Amino acid sequence: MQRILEVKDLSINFYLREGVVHALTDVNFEVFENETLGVIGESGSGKSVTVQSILGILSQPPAKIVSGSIRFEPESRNLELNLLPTYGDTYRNVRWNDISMIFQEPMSSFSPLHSIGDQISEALTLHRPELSETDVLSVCLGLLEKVGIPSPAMFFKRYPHEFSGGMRQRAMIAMALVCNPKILIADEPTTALDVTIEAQILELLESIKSEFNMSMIYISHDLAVIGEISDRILVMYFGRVVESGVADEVIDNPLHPYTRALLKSIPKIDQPIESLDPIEGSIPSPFEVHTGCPFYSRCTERLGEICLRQKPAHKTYNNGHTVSCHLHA
Amino acid sequence: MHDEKVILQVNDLKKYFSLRTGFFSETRYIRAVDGVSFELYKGETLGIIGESGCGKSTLGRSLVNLYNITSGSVLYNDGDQKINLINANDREKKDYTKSVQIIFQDPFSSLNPRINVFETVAEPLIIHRYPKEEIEQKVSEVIAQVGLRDEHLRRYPHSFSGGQRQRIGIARSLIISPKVIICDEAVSALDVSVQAQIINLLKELQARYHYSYIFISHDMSVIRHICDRIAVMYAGRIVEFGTKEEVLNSPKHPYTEALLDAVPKISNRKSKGKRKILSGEPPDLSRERIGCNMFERCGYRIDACQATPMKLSDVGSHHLTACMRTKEIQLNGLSIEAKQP
Amino acid sequence: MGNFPNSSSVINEEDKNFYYATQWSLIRSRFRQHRLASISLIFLGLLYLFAIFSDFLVPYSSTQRFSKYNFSAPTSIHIYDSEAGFSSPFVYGQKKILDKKTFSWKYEPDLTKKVYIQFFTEGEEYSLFGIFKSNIHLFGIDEKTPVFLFGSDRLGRDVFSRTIHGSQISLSIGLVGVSLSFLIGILLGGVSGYYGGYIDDLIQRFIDFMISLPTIPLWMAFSAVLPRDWSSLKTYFAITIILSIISWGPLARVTRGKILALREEDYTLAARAAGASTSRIIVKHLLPGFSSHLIVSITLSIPGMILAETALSFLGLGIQPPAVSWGTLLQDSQDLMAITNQPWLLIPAIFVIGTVLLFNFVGDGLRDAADPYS
Repeated sequence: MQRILEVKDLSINFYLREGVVHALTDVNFEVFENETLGVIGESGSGKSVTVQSILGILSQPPAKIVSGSIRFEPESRNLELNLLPTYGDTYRNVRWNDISMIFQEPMSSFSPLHSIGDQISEALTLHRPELSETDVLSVCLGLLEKVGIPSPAMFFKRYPHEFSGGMRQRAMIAMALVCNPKILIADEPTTALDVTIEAQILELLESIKSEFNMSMIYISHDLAVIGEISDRILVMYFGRVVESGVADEVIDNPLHPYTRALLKSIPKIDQPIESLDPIEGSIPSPFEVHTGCPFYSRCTERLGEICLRQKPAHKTYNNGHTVSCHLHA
Repeated sequence: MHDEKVILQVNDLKKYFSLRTGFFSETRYIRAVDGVSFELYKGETLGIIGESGCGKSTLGRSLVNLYNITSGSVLYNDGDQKINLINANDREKKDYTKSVQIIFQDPFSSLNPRINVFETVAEPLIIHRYPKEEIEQKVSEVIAQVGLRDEHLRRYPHSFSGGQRQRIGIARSLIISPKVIICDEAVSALDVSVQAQIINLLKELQARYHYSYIFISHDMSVIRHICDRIAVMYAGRIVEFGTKEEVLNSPKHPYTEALLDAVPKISNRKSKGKRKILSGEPPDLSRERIGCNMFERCGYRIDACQATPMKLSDVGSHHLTACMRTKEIQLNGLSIEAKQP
Repeated sequence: MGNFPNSSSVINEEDKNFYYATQWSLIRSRFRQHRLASISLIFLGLLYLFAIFSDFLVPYSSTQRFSKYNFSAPTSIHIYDSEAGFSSPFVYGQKKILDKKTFSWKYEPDLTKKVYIQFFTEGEEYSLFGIFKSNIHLFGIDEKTPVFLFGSDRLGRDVFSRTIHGSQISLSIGLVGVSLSFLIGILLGGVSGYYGGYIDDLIQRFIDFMISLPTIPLWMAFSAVLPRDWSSLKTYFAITIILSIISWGPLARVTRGKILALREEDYTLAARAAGASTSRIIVKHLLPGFSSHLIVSITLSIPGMILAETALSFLGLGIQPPAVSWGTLLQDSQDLMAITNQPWLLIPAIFVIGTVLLFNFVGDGLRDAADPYS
């Protein structure tokens, strides 16, 4: 299968008045065609920074890509995104045409001053200026119908605040699909939604993905959602990828102590109730610098000094399951 | 598991918010809580589950007198005192606050940033005029119970993480030794790895001090983990009520079935297609309606559902449901047996 | 932040200061980082200090005239003489001569007359705070040769002395007026925000009305009605009341908004759920949350008051002679002739501008410092 995105050794720092935040450290992963990559991580894991850097929407300053590369379509166009000027035309072309994104808060992602229809069609008119107004309209209406919005023509002229969260999220999905991108990034799209609406949206995303032949990067802190929707999973902690692999593998056979601890600590609705095993301590402050493993302070399986002092190496097993831990060195 | 004594009895509780849309137009009401009744037994954990807008938070806050109840009654009876919240005088209301407390959802806004931890936790005691030495001693005790240390007392909220702040909030609610504690989404705003810590803490405290909890949440997995009985709320009303095993394994209301179905299950992945996804949106709470409040979205509806007023009926061993078709339809629940911890 | 509860927390000094820092100390340290604001605060402090001790600092009282030296340009002070070398500051005497070409009087230094400036001299008597009598001035010169640091006006009065004297009224009226205005504003805004409902509606409509009144014409109207024979002090207080009565509206609005928001904060609800009384909630939870905002608003309102008084007095409607404020001093510069021929008469305007700027800088700094916690 062809790779559509390659992120290699990506490190990003934020230079703030209070100090330097090492938001990402040596992040490595790939996205293949037509697959869903699930990214699981809590606050401070760097998952949002990662996808923002792919889309080139990080404010630089205070952010700065210190090292590494982001390659789009490495086996054909091989566009090195991190080298492109973020305000330049090439990057603008990539955004939405090739890679688009849906966000967590549908209310704040839409401008309250413009109608939903205007905003959805804007992306299309900007990228495909050759299309006539009627063409644009029909594409947008078709998309709105596809994402399950009843009476799209009426919906088009109304404003974001007139709709519920679920409807707005659908509109946002329609907006993200308008140029038929190759990668759709979903940054916690259902976290703010009720579980019954979440189920609708997840089902929608699955059907859209196969119909449009897209890859999807799905970010969440909810392991169950990630498990359900992903082909492969990336586990992030404190700016590093600590584990990755095929979804079933990572969930049924987790290798990294963080993943294991996380799985043990969440209440699962479809498994017998056991006492929850919490992860003690809390996520370190973003200003902390770790020469060794950042999970050291909370890890119950740590080996000793080596975990504190030395950065764990990446180990890749035959089935593609990778882990960054001294236990697997 | 719990006493047979009822410590809190809620009868037909209604909380309406008035919507004034202008000087001359009619007042409309948002029926946030539209007739809720239940009993809380001493020492149990009663879960209230529902989605946004179902009225569970309004219910919780009404139970600690943060909202003035529109109608209905709330009876507190712990054997020593009996208080009816509706017609309580000021002294009774103050006594009530000593017995029924609340823990809030957002650890970042539930602590006054200008007050240090000691004063925050001590506030209930100060309000109820406890002597100074007793206050200091109790603060120290309760702070240790929630897993913090004395040196944290002089610090300010901004220097603590979300999980720690939630512990401080819990300490504040417990210091007055209440009997009933309303947990209003107490773990929803925490990181996943910290949620388990707080859930365990709440369970430990209950085991030690025999608190009765009303645990409000939208997260079915958490509710299942911590609660004994479950009330399912939809659009201001309880639509199903029963023990955890009954409600989760053999639900008797279509909404419960849809909720259970919608929850992503970590060991039953890729189960799409078999899901009964609930279509549509929650109803408008300002419209008065006869008949079932879930009518438009229900896959099992028949015309009669729209005309028959909602009523909770007992389908055996105190398992209540508001669905009038419950005997005719077959609903699916979770298929795993719930084991006691 | 470290981990707990098992790890040993080695907290360094910096962390400790952060952990134990109250809101106020956090705001203070953020303010100090804002260099422009900090420096402005120091300068403002100096200005107020000068105003308080003005009698001592200036050589002359505000009414002292040198009729032979009207419209004199600022006296140049020398410390170097070609003959005697460096010495303590001195001035040359001045001769008034008629310029044959322009037919206007001009002053020329009389190089023969050298008069030294003396420090801590005896001058006119004054009383500090109405209690201490003294006649020592910081610097002065013999009576026949005046030293005009900022020149002299139409009646031969020292502009420098009058400007510094005038700062007493101009600077204080801002503070007094703002305090009055704030008392009204906070009271009404607070009641409005806390109780909501009909009270809120009523007060808000009243504020709407007040805000829609045009301020300058109203100020002018009220001031014009003041009897001319009132003492300066009476006029002073009347002016401050007039200024503050009309300008409390916006603050009441802001107070109401803040109180409304704070009232719904979870920690306020927690206090209510614990049984706190209304007064405890207001004092312990609402007011502190609001006070940083208050300080910022006050600081940014004072310039408005100062400008208002200056404007009123400039138009002859505010402070009346013999009292001096920067506004009355600027009355003399109302015509074009004055500005072209005696530009030093505009120096009080520089003081006004400077003070307003300083207050704005300090206010900006305070707002940035208080913002994250407001």
